[in-house]
Amino acid sequence: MKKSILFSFFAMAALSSCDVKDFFEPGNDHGNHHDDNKVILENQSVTPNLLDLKPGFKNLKITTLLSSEDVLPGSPDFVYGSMADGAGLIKNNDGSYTLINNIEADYSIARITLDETFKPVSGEYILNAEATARTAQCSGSLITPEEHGFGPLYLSGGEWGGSSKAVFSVDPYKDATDASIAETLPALGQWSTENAVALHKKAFPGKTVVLIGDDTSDNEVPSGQLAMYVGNHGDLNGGNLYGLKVLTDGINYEMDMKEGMTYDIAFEEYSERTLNELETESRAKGIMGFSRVEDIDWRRGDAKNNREFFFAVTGRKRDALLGKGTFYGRIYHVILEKNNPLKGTISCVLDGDKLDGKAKAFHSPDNVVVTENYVYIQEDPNGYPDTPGKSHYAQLYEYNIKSKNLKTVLECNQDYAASLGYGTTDRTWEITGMIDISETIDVDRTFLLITQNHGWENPLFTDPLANPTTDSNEGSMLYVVQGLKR
Amino acid sequence: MTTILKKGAYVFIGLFSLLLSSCLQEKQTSYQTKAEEENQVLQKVFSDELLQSKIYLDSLSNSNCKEDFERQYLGARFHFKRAEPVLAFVDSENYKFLNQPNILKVEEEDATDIKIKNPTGFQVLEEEIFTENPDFESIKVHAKKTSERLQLIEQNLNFNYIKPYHILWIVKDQIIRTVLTGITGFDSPALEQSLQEAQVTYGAIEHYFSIYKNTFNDKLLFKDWQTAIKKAIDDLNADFNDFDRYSFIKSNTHKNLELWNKTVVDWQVKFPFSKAINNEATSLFSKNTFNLKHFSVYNDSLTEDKIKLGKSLFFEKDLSTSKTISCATCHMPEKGYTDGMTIAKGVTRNSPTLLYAGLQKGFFYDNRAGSLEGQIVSVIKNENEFHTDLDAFEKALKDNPEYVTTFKTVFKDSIKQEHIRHAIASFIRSLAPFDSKFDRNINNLENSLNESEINGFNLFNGKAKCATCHFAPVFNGTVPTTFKESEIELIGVPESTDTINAKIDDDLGRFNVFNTEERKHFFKTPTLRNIELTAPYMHNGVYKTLEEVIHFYNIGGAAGLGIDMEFQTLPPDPLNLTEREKQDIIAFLKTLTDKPEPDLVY
Repeated sequence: MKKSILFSFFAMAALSSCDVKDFFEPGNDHGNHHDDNKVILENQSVTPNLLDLKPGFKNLKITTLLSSEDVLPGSPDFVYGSMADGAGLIKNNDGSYTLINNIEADYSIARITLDETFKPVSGEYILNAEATARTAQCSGSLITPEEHGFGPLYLSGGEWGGSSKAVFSVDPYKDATDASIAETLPALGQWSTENAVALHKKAFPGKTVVLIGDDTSDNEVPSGQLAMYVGNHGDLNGGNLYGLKVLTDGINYEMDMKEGMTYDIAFEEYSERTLNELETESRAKGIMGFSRVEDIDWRRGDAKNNREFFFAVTGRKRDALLGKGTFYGRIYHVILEKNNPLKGTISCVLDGDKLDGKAKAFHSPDNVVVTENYVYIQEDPNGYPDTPGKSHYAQLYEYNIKSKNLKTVLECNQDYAASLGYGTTDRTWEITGMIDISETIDVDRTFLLITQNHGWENPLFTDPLANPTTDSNEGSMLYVVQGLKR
Repeated sequence: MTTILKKGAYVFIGLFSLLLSSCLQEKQTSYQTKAEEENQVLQKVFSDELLQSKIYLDSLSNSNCKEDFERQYLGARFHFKRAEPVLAFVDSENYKFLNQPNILKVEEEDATDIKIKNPTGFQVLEEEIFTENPDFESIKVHAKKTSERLQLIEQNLNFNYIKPYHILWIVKDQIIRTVLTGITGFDSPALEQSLQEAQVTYGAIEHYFSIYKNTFNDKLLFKDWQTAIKKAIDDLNADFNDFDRYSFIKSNTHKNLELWNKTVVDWQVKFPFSKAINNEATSLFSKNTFNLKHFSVYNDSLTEDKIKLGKSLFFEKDLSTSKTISCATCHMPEKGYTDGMTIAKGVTRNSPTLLYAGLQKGFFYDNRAGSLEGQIVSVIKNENEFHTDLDAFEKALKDNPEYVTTFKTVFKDSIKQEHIRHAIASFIRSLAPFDSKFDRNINNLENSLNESEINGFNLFNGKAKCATCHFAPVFNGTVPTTFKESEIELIGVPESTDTINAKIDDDLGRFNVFNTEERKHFFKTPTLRNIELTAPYMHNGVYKTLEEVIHFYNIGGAAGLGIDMEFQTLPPDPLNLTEREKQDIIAFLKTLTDKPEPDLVY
């Protein structure tokens, strides 16, 4: 039912190029916006919009939601801290909204409450630096009763900085007075964890399947694995752990895989769970090492779609990695078999190292959000703009899964930002934390998007309740982007 | 640095011993359980130790007199050590955090990603508490951070995956850790209570075996362990400075490893892979000790034909633009693969030995390369060294039909850059013979060490603190037992032997890699094997003799020369070695010379 509605919607949108524009005309009821929906999307932050839309996307509507310099009326001392990253949004029974948001460089997780009009009213920290052992909380994802059949639960990747390289698991409604107590999921293994993402319950009925991205950076051989946990439905402790292995002969390194080609894969079982031993076991078993696995997301839609996922490999540039690991970043597409999550195929759909290819502009793709028909790819440039095509600030791309076309949606407008005193032009920002909130707020084609404004610094940009001894004071910004296709 | 009040401390070490003896006398509970329940028992035992340690730390936060601080610290440390064998395995990163040295921590991921952190944990607490005027507030902050970390670990345990072979790994790692870092004073800098701590960890091992008693098919073997552990604990009843480490390794560590291998057979376990030290190793000083795969990014083994090819390439002059130099020009086998020069020709630093170079995780004096293969690329490109590139390298070889054939045989492929560097690296990895007088003696192959040489080894690993940076058995800075990292240090080598107006050498070392201020004058800790052949010493070759080197360390490095270096990592206190002791250390170092290889092509 839902699918056919969407289909007719897209068919309609394709009729005229004016549709998208009309969609946001004042007076228009915000697309599929229901009559009783109280959401009003308008600028909420004192910080201006610092994003620059690209041709073809000029009709998107961008509004600001929150930044590190904002004061929320319900919690005037709360600071939206340094390097906001992964996020998840929940609609509450009383009509308000809860946003769980990783604050990476403050090693903490914030909970922000938005009222029924989607205006942020208060914020607090539910996991602080003490609880995470000062481990950066990178990407995050929600497990919800609607999608997964249990929860809600927020999973967050403990990656760098501290020593707890594990998957953190947080009750979105936990008491903020317990912010110094953390729970991790040891059964998912110790990794330089970027993210852990549970597949939809329809993908493998009766099973809970969680994908884990290992952001290990190695200067000699790509050493980031893509791991999978498989447990019984709702069980995140008693299941088994596996690593993605490419079965095709001659594929020893990720760069042996060519853009557009498809290769057979299997997920091989790990006997280990500890950081060093998982790395050794991966090498011993020939499990594929990528040059830093970043974000992962699965495809929306029917059960078949739900067995597909995309992940970003951000890349690393070192002489010794040439021909082994990507320098400028890649996007991979994995399709798992029906009834068996341990088998499937992989293909590199976008290869930033192909300097004349369609992803030639890629400079460290990092985060991904996948809808039914599109993948939105967010960059975190690693600092080597080696070609004119790669010489840009962080960009957001739209990848059409069916047509395989790639378009640039927007770019951080750091020249404009710097002219207003928002950071400098020599420190490149990161685009991150993008999630599709269309269904949660019941406004179609609506996404949250975050920027980490490196270089925009202020000693007040860390909340002492998140981290009393701050390591980073760079500001973050949270936006709503409307009009992107799903 | 802190001044240590040993007298006061000893009173309270008595408390530590009290805890220890009561714990050793305690009759170990006999667990009649099924295999899966054993894991739960282990988890419970481990979790209890963490909680006990935390309770002491939390009381420490409420203390307000020095004696109380000392007492609570010792209690916390005792239970931390009881937990150490399991903790170091199940959560190696947090173990490293809790037991880190009291030195500024600098992590240099990339030029744009450098993190500098103040240390905390047990060693910091020990140094801050056992000092003349302890800063109570600072101690409380560290106690809180340490306690929080224990809590995070304790609350997130899941031992479901633990299989019998993991238990054996945990035991083996601890036997090795005890001797390579434990008894050297590595992690008890102020109290030097390393031997008592080693007794505690041996006691913990005994406890684990009692939990897994039913896994033994041969009950006598279980008894053998009890006897062996009792012997080790008895032998560790000694004074830190007088302890005979050489005999301990021979009659305990190596014997324990033999017993361990018997247990592997008895328990019928299969290991999925070897860690840094081979599962089968029964000596820490043998060419079969290390798993070379751990030190290489290549999965394939070190084959004879690859090493042979690498060796020819190593001596191949046609590879240089001038056709006059080869790798062996600056790395001459007869000089322990160095060149005997103060500074090697055309470069800025002393030519390091290549013997045992493969057993490292960082390359060049500043650790700027992460593998031998990576290092070779830089040497070839350096305009003051080979001044060529891998393409030219490739061409030079392709003109030689003999090489074309050999590469085809060895790599099943044409001559390619990656094969060239991998072949040379393989040859270098093979240069780890462990065939010195010292190795032969500690392995019971001969009995020719004199008292002075043995005493030298004991001083090196004890009073003189050399082994807290130059870890046995390679005596380099690659840290046991994970062997994941090769350390760099600031010892403050002067530019000349002038001691009146001593000046720091102007080479900034590691600083040049990422321009990190806190990394100025940091250099990698090299191996001391074959040191008799590798003079002159230090990155700038400033010292011609070992006597000069030992003097430099004895006075506390740069600090002793009156050079003030804020980030000096070498303890600045004098070692107070007697002339006799200095001579003993040198005598020991000279037993580390390998027998020359018979078939070297000069």
